Amino acid sequence: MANQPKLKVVHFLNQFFAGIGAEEAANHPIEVREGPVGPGNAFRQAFKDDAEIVATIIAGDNYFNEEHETSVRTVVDTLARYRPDVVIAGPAFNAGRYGLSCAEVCHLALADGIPAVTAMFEENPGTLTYKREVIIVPTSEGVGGMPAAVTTVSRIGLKLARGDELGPADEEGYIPRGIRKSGRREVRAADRAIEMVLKKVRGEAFVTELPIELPEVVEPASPLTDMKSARIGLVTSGGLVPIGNPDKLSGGPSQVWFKYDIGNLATMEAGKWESVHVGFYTDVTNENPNYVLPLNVMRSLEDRGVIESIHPEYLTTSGRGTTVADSRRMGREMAAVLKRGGVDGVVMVAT
Amino acid sequence: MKLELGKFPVSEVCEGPQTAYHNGVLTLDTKSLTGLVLENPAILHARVEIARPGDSTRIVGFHDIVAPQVKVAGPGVAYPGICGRPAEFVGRGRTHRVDGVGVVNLGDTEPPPGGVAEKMPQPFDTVFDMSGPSASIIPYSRLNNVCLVLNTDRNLSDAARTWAAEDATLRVSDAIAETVREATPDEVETYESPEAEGDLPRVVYISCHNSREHFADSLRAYGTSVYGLSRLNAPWLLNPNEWLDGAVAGKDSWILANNPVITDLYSRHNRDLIFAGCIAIRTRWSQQVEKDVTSNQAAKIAQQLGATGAVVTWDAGGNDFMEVIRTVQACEKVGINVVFLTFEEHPDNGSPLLEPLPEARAIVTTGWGRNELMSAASIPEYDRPLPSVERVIGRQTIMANQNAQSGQIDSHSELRSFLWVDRYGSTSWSAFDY
Repeated sequence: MANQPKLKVVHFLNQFFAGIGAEEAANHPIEVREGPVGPGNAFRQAFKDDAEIVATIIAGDNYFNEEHETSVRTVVDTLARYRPDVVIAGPAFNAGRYGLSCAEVCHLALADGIPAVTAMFEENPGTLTYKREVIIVPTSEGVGGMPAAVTTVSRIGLKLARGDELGPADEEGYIPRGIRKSGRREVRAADRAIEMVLKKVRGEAFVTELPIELPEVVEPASPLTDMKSARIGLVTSGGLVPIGNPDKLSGGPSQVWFKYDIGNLATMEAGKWESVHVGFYTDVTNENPNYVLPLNVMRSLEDRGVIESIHPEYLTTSGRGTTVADSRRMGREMAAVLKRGGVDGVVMVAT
Repeated sequence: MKLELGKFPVSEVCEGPQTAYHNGVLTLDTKSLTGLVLENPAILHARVEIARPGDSTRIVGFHDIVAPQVKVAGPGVAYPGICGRPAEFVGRGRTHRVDGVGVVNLGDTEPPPGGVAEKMPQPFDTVFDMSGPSASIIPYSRLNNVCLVLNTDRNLSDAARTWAAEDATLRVSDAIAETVREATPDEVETYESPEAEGDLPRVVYISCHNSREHFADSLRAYGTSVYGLSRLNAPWLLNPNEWLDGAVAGKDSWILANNPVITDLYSRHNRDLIFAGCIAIRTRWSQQVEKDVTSNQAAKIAQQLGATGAVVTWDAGGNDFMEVIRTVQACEKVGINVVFLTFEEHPDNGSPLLEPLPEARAIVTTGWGRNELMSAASIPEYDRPLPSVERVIGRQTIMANQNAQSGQIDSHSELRSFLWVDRYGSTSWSAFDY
């Protein structure tokens, strides 16, 4: 059988793993050597005849950060020169600066259309910064996990070099990138649920199919200290718009929001406004739109001097099935408008 | 409680001079079946159409699919309590089921009146094809479907028309099931629970069912019912056998009577576990306290059953998730190990669960349903549109996608959009981290 041409690999290492020196050599300038260096030899064995490390990029941990522009240019130029099928970096274990530079080298390769994989400890700053973008194989904190890391990285590296699609994170052994994809499992879900509940009851190890990521906690603003001089804004996710829906706000999911003038109004009159929201029973709010925008109550607080004034425009969208990303963006946009309008506090009517 | 379930597998359904079951062949006298239905003056017109697996046929706008079965010994009737049927509790004695057949309710009512339902595009989640990509996903595509296309009297209330269509479906289901009343089944499955105490883990099944009470002006309130009751009410303690006899029914009745969580728990009953009972809770309460009470009472009942484990399923979305996830939490708090069998939000929507609570640490996921807005990250079979079909049973037009503003298209057309969510773990579809 004719020999297949070997796949080309470029490897990235820091000064320590390249055998140049420890912290005292952390300013070692970036350089490129032909062939494998240090752990590259372990990879060479793992790759057998399928792939070869054609070049190794080596940089001092400090150098890579401090002479960042030069480092990036060297990496980019090296990739252009060797045109590797895959880039591997590290493993960096729990070395923070090294982890970051490994992940960044992979990131640069990806930007260039070259697949890349690195390995490091799950709490390495490199993981925390790049786990959404870069394929990172989790390792032990220290170098004891080198053989395991080399096995997994070389297997994934070969797959990537061949252009094969990677399977799920836990199957392949990389850190989830926050991407969910559909697929089939071996047995139907009801069976799996019963198997899992039995394992859980018996105290055996089980793997959830949907790891929970606890939601981001938004710290509330500090309370108003002086209500009497406060300007209050009104915001609703109740899909309340002028009757006829002139701007065609979607009933949900909505990716936009609108603002409407209420500066001269004492109350939200029935027949002049409507809710286009499709996630709740709107007949009641259409009979009295103050339910989703309590202008009448707020005006009476204003008249009695409890608050100073009401912002003359209310902000509205339909809060149904809106993605977290859209909600976050719209929230930011709304906050900026309110801030510009000198608003001190907001009544947010959720639906 | 002991139930024998005699199954009569059907390999072929065809029209014939009389409604009869013989050696796996079900013949239907469609004239007398429609006659049965037309006895109710609320039904103006009725037609029976047969859809077979592999046909280039699309069923559009179905309200329910029922598994035909009849009680041949023991108290009560199949699908008790619905449309005024006797409400004696079921799950005892013997039931005969015509297996592999669905009776499809294609009534002409729109979903419940008022607010949401009027504005919500409904048909897109009530479509399935008898062949093509969706057939590998939706269990109904593998049934021989006896479709009942009904025109109800539009002068009647929506509730009355819905009732009439449901009643008609059960009449046809009963007539089909009658054919096997006296016959000897090929196989008899015996279900008995709970058994004597033992050291095995005691597992309960907690099912959560959306109530449409807020959206309907009817006592029936539509949707899935327990003994015909579908309004918001306190948690039910049920024996699994009641499920098999159709006590939980009304929407997806076929899947409910064949609920894989129940049959799979039973298959390991007295071997790996003790199936300690079923708790059904209602969801979509208005107030937090109502949600909290429901969740905590479900956990209390589970605890009283001596449960050390629980499997939780649900059948809705959005709002209802609050009491569902709190049920998971409440059970964990009293030391019951929960596995939450759920579908998940599409990745584009951010978090896969609306409110991830740390107690939900054991999840089995069936992935997400699909529709046009949600096709980006899906896998091959889900990605493929449903090809155009030769024949449509049911509505002749269909909402083009989930966006209510978009228009109707011909139901025969290629569909880029359909939605089916595996709520009871019938399939191996799932989702993975990449």
